[in-house]
Amino acid sequence: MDMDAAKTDELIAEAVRALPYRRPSAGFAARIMAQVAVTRRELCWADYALKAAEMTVAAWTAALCWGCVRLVSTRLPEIAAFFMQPGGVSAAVKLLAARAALLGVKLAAAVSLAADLAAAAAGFPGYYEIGAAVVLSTAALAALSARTAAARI
Amino acid sequence: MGETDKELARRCLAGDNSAFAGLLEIYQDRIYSFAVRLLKNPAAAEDAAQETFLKAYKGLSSYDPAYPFASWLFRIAHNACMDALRAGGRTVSMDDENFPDLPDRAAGVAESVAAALDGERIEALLAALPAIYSEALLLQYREDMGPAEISRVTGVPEGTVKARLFRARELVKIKLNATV
Repeated sequence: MDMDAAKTDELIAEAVRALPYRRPSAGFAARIMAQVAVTRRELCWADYALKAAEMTVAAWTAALCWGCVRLVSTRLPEIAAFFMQPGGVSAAVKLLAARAALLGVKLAAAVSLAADLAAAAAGFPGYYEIGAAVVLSTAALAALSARTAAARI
Repeated sequence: MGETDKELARRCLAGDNSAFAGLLEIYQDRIYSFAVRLLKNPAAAEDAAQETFLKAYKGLSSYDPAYPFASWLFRIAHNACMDALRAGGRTVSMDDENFPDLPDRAAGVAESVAAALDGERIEALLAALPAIYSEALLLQYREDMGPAEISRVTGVPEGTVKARLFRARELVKIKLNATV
């Protein structure tokens, strides 16, 4: 006599439910715990490296902030006077925009010079060309900027 | 049980290694049994179970306590077993369901055959099923998971899980009839 489908499903469910759990070989848990201990040490080292990197970034940020604060505080009277004069704020905005534009032009010139130098020195490996061009163009631009700034003062 | 798992996981995250030993004690037989029934090879199952626990330890911070710990752990075990099956050259259909040809409903099973469905026989039947079907049956009945939880473990939609469960039961019935 055939059973109905639902009853057979229930019998299958009961049979699967009654399956015993099997045990892995002896020492399985000990092996895993030994590997966990090794992993834990590796994770600790990775944590230390991350913490060191975080602290370096934090220290560098603090140094930059400190430098900015000192720069502003030493020139506070001049800055305050500049802002208090009529049209001072708009003049400051214009000055900042002009500085940003100048910086953009300098960067574009540096990139262009680096590309020209790289193309000219075809016999050298690529990273030497680019590295040398970047260093030379940065030094040249820095020297030129310092000279023009000194001339203005 | 759920609370205990979560508490142990929390303590483990806080750096208490003995808590992981507790989790291992609770789950080692369940994970190993699941793996051995899917892989049908005790050595490969032990490797998969070991990989499961190590991955769980390393990735414990990604466990979301809003869900049961068991389904998170079985998800890792599922991935380890599927990797092992693929490495062994077995085809595991994951994305598209390559269902075997089945009638809409398998013929009824003789009462005497169904009544004799003991542990040994169901083990043999499960071993004869494709891994995705035996896995669905084991997770639903042996691990007491619902379709939504099985869906989280296997990474397939709930509808696919239900279809797999239906197909798995029909396949078992066909194989039962074939043994008569």
